[in-house]
Amino acid sequence: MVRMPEPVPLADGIDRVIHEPGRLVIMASLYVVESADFLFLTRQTGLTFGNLSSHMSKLEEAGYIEVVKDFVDRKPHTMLRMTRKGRAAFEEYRRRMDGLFKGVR
Amino acid sequence: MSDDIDLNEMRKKAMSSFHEDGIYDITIGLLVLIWGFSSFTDDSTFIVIWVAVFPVYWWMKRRYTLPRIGMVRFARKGEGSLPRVLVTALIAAALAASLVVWWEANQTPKSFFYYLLTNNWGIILGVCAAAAGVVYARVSYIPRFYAYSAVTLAIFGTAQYTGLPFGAHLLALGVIFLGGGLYLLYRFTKKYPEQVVDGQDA
Repeated sequence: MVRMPEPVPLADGIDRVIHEPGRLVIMASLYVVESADFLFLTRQTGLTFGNLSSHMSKLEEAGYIEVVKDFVDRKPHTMLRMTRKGRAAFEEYRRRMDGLFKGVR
Repeated sequence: MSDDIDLNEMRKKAMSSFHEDGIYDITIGLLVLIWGFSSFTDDSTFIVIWVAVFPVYWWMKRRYTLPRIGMVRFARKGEGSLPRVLVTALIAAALAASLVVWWEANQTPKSFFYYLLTNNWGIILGVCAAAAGVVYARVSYIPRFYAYSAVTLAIFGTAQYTGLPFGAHLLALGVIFLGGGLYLLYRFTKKYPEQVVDGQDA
């Protein structure tokens, strides 16, 4: 009889919304700036427009990012930025992942 | 997983790519050139022209940078505040020194500080400007500003020994910044074609 290994307790509670690689790099890109537009994020993340759009919808649904209207040279420009909830979630995710890897030899 | 994403490197990449266009260099070059030209005249119109350069920066960002790599805003709070304080302090110190020299010009006797400033104004101005440039290069991850700082120190440091008017040195410095910026802008437009993003504002 095969005995299943005990689950790693620290892996519980990892935020699956952030954990997806595409969304993780989007969150990281937005974490280090105040706000950025769609085109800048495609350049920074290397994701296609379609991929980025799909991930953005999920992050917006989770309340981690928001769309804001900014003005550049007095003309409106759509920007994306992380919400407070998103920053807190990202920092918690980092803390959990750091703790997870500290236990790995 | 978190080791694969280096947040410091991502911030560096964001800052350096946004300033790859050379528009910042062009703006500084224009400001220094206007300062240089104004030193040869008593015309106060130059102050108006000087102020008018600042909107040019954002017009150029919108015209050349936004359609190619997009737009980003960097946080002004927290870790960015100390370098800003340092640069502001350096500029304030330079202005204060200018004020002291102007105030004491008609005083008798003059203080040691006055003679220290007037006999070494080029070096002091060069050191202040270069230090501000080095601090800015460090926090904004634009390494070419280290080179600009060295050139600024050399030009201002030799200003009182060349026999040329100070305005000539400003013109030389302005040309260097402007020329560097124009070359970078040319290279930037060749490297990044304009992109069309569905749903993005025109």
